[in-house]
Amino acid sequence: MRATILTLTLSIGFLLLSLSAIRKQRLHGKQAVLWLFVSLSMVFLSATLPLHFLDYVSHFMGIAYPPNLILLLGVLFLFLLVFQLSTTAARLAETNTALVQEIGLLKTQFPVEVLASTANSDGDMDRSRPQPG
Amino acid sequence: MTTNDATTRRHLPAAPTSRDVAPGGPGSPDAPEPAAAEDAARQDRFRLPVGLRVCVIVPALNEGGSVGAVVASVEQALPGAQVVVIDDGSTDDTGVRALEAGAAVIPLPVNLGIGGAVQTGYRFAAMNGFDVAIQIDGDGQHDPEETRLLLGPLIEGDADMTIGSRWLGRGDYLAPRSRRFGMRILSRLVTWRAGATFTDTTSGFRAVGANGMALFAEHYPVDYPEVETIVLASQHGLRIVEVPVRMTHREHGSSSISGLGSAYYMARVILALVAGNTDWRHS
Repeated sequence: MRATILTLTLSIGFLLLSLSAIRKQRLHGKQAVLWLFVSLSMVFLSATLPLHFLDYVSHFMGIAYPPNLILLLGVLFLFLLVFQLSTTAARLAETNTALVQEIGLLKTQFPVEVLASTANSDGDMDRSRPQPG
Repeated sequence: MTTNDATTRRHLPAAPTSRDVAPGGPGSPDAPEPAAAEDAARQDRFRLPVGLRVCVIVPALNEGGSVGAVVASVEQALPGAQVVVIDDGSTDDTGVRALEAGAAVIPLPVNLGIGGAVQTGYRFAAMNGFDVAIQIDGDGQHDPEETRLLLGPLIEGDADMTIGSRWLGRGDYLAPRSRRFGMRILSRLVTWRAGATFTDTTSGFRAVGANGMALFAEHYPVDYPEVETIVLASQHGLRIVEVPVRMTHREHGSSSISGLGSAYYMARVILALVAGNTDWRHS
C-alpha cells in the first residue's frame, strides 16, 4: 500500500508538471499529447498496483518479473523518443540552413561602383560593409 | 567579323588569331607592335559570348589574405562575369576584401560549411537567371584562367556540368599516396553509382548550366558535397564532362581533411554513396 501511495504521488506530480507546461505553452501539439499520455499511463499503473493489473499483463506477455515490463516499456519509449528528436534535429538543421542562406541572399552586397552607377544615392561605403556578427 | 568567327574564338582563348588583335587593328597608326599585341591578345582578348551570363561562385571562410587576388584574377580571366563571394561567417575582413576587389558578397550570418555556402551561390545564380555558374575555391588551388576550359563544353552544348580534373594530364599535381588511394576508391564507387567513369571526384572546380544550377539550388549535400553531387547530377540526367586542368597546392591554410578526419571523410562519403539513394531521397 505504501508503494502505491509513493508511486501515485510521484506520477500525479508528473501529471501536474505536464499540465502546467501545457498551460504555459511550453509544450505544444504532438509533444503535449505525448507527455499527457505518458503521465496518465503512469497514474493509471500506480493506481492499479493493488489490483495487480501489471502482474496480469506481464504474466500474459510471458514476463516472469513484472518490473521488467516497466523497464522494457521505459527503455523502448526513451529510445523512440530520442530517435524522433534526432530526426527532428536533422529537419531543423535543414530549415536553418535554408534560412541562413536566405538571409545571406537578402543581404547581398555589391561593390561601391555598382551602387553608385545605379544612381542609388545611399551607395556609400558604410552600407556596403559586411555587418559584424 | 562574322558570328562564326566569334563562335570559334571563344573556345580557343589561348590561341587567338591575328584578326582578334587590339582595337584599331594592325593597320591603324597607334597599333602596338605585332609581338606585343599578340601577347596582349593572349592576355586580354578573351570575351564571353555575347549575352551569356556567367556567375563565378567563390566560397570563402577567413580568406581575407587571398580572396582579393582570387577575385581579381577571375575577373581578369573572365571579363564580364559576375563574381560572387560567399562569406561563410568569416571573422576576418574577407567580405570587405572581396567587395574592394569588385565581387558581390553574400554574407552568411553563421558558418554553414562548404556545402551550404556553395549552394547559396547556386541559389544566387539560379535566382538571377545566370546561364552558367562556375564554382572555384577561394584558396588559390584552382587557376582562374582555366575557368575558360570549364566553359567550353557547356557553351558547345556538349555537357550540362563540367568538372576540372587534375588527373587528366595537365599540370603536375601530386597528392600523398594515401590520399590518391582514397580518391581511387571514391572514383570506383562513383563509377558504380553514376554509371560513368570519373577521374577526379573530389575536385571542387566545376561549372554547370541552368539545369544543373536549378538542381543544386534545390538539393545540395551539406557536408563533403563534391563526390555526392556527381552521383546526384548524373541521376538527374545531367551530362557530365571532365576537363583536364592544372591544380596547385594551396597557398594559404591546409586541407580541411587530414589525419583521422580522412577516415571519417571516407566513411561519410561512402555512406552517402552506398546508402543514399539520391533518386528517391531528394525527390
